[in-house]
Amino acid sequence: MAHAAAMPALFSSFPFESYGAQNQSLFSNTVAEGNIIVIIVLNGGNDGLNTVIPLNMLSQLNKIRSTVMLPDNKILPLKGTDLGLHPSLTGLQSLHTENRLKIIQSVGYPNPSYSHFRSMDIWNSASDALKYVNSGWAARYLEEKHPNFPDAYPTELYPHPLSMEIGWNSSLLFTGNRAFMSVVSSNPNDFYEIINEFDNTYPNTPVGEKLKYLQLMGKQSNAYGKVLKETFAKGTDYAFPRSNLADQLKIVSKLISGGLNTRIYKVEIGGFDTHGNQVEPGDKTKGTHANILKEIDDAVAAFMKSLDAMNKSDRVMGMCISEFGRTVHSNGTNGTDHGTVSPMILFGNKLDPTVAGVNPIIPDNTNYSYEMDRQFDFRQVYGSIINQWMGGNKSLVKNILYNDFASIPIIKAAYIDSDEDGVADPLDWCPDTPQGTLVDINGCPIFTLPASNYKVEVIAATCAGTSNGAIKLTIENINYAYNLIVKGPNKFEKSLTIPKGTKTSSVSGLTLGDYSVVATVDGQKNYQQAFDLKITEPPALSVQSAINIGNQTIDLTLSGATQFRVQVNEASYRVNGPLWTGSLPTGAVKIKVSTDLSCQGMHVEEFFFSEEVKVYPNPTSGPFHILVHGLDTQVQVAVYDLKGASIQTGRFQVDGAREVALDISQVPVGTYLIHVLGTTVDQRIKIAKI
Amino acid sequence: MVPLKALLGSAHFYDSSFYNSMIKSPLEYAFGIMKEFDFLYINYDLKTDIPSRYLSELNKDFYKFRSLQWDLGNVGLNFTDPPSVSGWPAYYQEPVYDLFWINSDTVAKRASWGNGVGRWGKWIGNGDTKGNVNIQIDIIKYLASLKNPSNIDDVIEESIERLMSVPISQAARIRIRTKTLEGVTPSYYTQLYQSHLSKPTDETRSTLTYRIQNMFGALFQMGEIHLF
Repeated sequence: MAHAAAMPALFSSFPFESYGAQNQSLFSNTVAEGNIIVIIVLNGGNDGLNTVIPLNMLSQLNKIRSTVMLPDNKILPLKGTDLGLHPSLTGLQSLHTENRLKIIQSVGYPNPSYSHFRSMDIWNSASDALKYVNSGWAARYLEEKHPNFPDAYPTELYPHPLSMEIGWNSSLLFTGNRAFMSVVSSNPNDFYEIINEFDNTYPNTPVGEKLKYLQLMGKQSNAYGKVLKETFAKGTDYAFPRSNLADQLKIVSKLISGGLNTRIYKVEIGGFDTHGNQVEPGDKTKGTHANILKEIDDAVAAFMKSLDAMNKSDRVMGMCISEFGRTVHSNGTNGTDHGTVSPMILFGNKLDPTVAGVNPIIPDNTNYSYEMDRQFDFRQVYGSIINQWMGGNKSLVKNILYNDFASIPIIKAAYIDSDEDGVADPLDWCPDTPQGTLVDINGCPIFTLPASNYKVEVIAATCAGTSNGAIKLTIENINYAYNLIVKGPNKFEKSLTIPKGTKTSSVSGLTLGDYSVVATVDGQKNYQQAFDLKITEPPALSVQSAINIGNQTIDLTLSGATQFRVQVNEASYRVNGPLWTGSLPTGAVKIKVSTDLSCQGMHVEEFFFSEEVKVYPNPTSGPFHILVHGLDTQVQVAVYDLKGASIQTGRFQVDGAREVALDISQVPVGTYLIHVLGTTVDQRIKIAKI
Repeated sequence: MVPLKALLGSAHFYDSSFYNSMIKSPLEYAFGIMKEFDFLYINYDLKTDIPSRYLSELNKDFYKFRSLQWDLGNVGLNFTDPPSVSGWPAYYQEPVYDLFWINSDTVAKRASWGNGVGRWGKWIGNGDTKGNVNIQIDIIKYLASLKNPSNIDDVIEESIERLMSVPISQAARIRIRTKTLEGVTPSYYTQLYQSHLSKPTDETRSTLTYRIQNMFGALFQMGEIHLF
């Protein structure tokens, strides 16, 4: 059977031709589609005998609980049983008619505690009454299934909270031996994002360990907060009545409809400690108990209706628990006091709806402290639910509940799925598939590789009208021979193989457009993995140039491609990579940069870089020399005054010492400008005549 | 008495590596922050409507701390309503003990509370005629109590010393400074503080307050503040 690994399933590892519609399949994924249990906690100790009434005991009950007993004719009969429901529970009566209600009679535990807190702790911890256990059974279940929690959670496979409590406080139910397994939320819309960096490293000291824990929780909180907000926003608002419990179940409904993979939810309702005024003396179908039962009934009915509407009621079961039942005898204040056993109510599509146990027999002449016989230990119910619904074999159940408890048929045999792969045991050819395995319709593992086995990338872009695009495929697991089909625009199709032991292959000569790559593996008929990718035009060529006069170099920073053609005057270079440095010629300089792809354009830059020129002596009384670097054999020299009037111009030979000798003895004292111009020289220098 | 004697006489009891390695209960976290500051009382709807009961020496603390009851109930400790005769599980629930206070929900709610108190202040009750009475850390008074309030690094340093029992990394200090200054330079802050000293205006008061509120908003969300 199998749960499928969530991510690969989403990314497609399914045998169909087209990729795109991969959300429905014959293959199950119990991480995403696993069974859900909603635990409704009835705080205060529910009066079981006024909730589920043994109709064959009416005359006895009317005698000994006369102040609270419901009128016989108001009790809602449960078809096919000798039981009736409190008149507030019309919704549950309908669920019974629809075979979606299960009643387990007289549930309790040995050595009962009459303290609310202690007894609720016993129900939550699932311990013997005489043993104190500081963890909850739901937490122990989750810890068995997630031995690495909370480190590194949320994970790729389990991105969602493992369990959720609607409300404000976390309960013992979800307190594990290592960590708290639940996220508590009263409003998934309103998660506070902690403004902090969570990448600190702390030493392995007592302080460091606590800081690590705080950091982990902060990180987890932000991650779970985000995912809850998102799923909640995606969810649908179904019609619910307004009450505290209905508000809570509405949140659960909306989260489930939004696709939350969380599998255990807890909601709560209080007020069941009905020592006084459990019923109104004038009309015993009214009063505190009637009101809170109606709150449950309305909320559960709306919840089931919402699950039906989103087509997910097959995945959900509900279980009501309360710390104890109440006394069989009623008291003098129209109420009942703390008792022991009480019937349990479960609801859900896949329940085996037969009543577990028989109607309690209440003998004559009982006194006030009389308690009915226990028929079931609540841990039998938990164990059966883990085994038949949540997923877990007998030995796992024993680890969680510390003992073997006889099983009760809770789920219809046809739906029991002990390896949680989504294929029920009677149909499952492989009944022990490990968690996380993707299975076929027979519940057997199917060949699959993680999507991360492949790296498919566009390694070259192309311009419109040309075909320079290329795709590269790299695979991680080289133990298989892969066949790849690349399809693209204009019926382009090409097959490639990556033989065993080889990591890559590529296709080039591709035009612009959308491509698909479908990978199959030799000998694995039902496996394929598809990818979509797009070959686009390349980005525009971008060039930044820096002229370094000191070193006489040109530094170019190039982007938009990996290979460039750089031309500097007559010289051209092939450049691989984003940086190029070349020597700077003197004189007129023209830099051209282009790529192989014409649509990226060309970068052109022109400037003049002059050879150095020196004048000496400066100041001068008249004669002076111009030293001209470079190779020019002739230069044009012009002398201007500062107003721009030309004093003297001429063309001069540069002598063997690379000098030109001039004389300005004739001109008045002042500052003059010498302009030296040649093929590689263009400089203006000031000279002072004294 | 023998076990107590063994406990108090053991080397473990005095092992300094255990100092400050306990996670504060919600009470210690919130009261610890609240008692460190003086507060301004603000009624946004009607400035003058601050009933004297909130300010009188006798009642002041009562109203200030009463308002924490609901806040702390949200993070696992309603101090007027212990869950059982044993008190709160963090005090006895082995093996997790004080870790019990912190889960992915309460850690966010504590941070949210700290950010709120640091930046915005908090509600403590109603006005007599209208509006709510809020308390806000008196930042100016706080700054005046520091050794060197005109240097932002010294402000952060001394605030960490006052509020945290364990050291904070240099990187975290720099992040706090960045969050405090939001792009302005430390010397701008110094100038701001000095000009406030020489000529306080509503503008200098409000700008300084805003900066330091940023700092508290960041400090009160750090992991280290939960230890003692």
